[in-house]
Amino acid sequence: MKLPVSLSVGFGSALGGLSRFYADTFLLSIASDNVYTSLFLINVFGSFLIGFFLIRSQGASDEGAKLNWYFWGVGFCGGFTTFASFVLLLVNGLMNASAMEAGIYATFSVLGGLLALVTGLIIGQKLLLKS
Amino acid sequence: MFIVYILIGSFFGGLSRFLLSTWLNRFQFDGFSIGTLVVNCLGSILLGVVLSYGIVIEGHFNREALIEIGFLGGMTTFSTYALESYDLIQKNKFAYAVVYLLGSPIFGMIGFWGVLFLNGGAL
Repeated sequence: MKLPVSLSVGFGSALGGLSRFYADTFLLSIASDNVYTSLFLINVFGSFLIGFFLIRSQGASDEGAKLNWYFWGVGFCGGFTTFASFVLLLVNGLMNASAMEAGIYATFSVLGGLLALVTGLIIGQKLLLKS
Repeated sequence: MFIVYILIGSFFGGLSRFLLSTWLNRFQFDGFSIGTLVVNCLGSILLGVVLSYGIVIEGHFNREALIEIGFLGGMTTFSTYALESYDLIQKNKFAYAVVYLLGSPIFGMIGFWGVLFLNGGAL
């Protein structure tokens, strides 16, 4: 694996992880400390962004555009969104609430993520056609 | 200082995710990539380990920042999970899409729970 690619992913992920922390802090402050709402919004927004960045980088042949994808798509969006906390919240939901509520949360997260991704692809495509 | 811990953790978390999933994706099953699935489950298992064995303790903010928010947060991903699911749906591989969509959280939870079980159920 080429070093610039790995470094792009690493630095993108570092920026994504820090952004997640600040987004989480902000979202918790406006969502009365609801960790479920906060993580849902973070994961959905990150899925929107990865769709957007994927379209922007598709068909790009030059090295710079490829590194852009590794930084923003694989690195930033990957680091911004998280799966481990998602699993932790599902386990907590199963233990403290009910299987039904955990299932509903998981379903909404997954469908929200897919819908946001498609929205990102469409908006990215529209902007690409304009430019 | 916690900002630096989050940056370092996320850097190495994202790097591990990339290297490990790229390596795992060499093993394709009829176009089904297992890289992100395995890395997400591994990250969930590791979260179980650091929480139940007291490696990350609430209040120890630097450890939370480095390991939980940074490394494991950066190592696991939801955006690629959505992207790869969508990709499978688009290729009409609905059975794989369902396995991937349901399998990721289910295997992640089983792994997380497995760790808690081994440690006597303590969190």
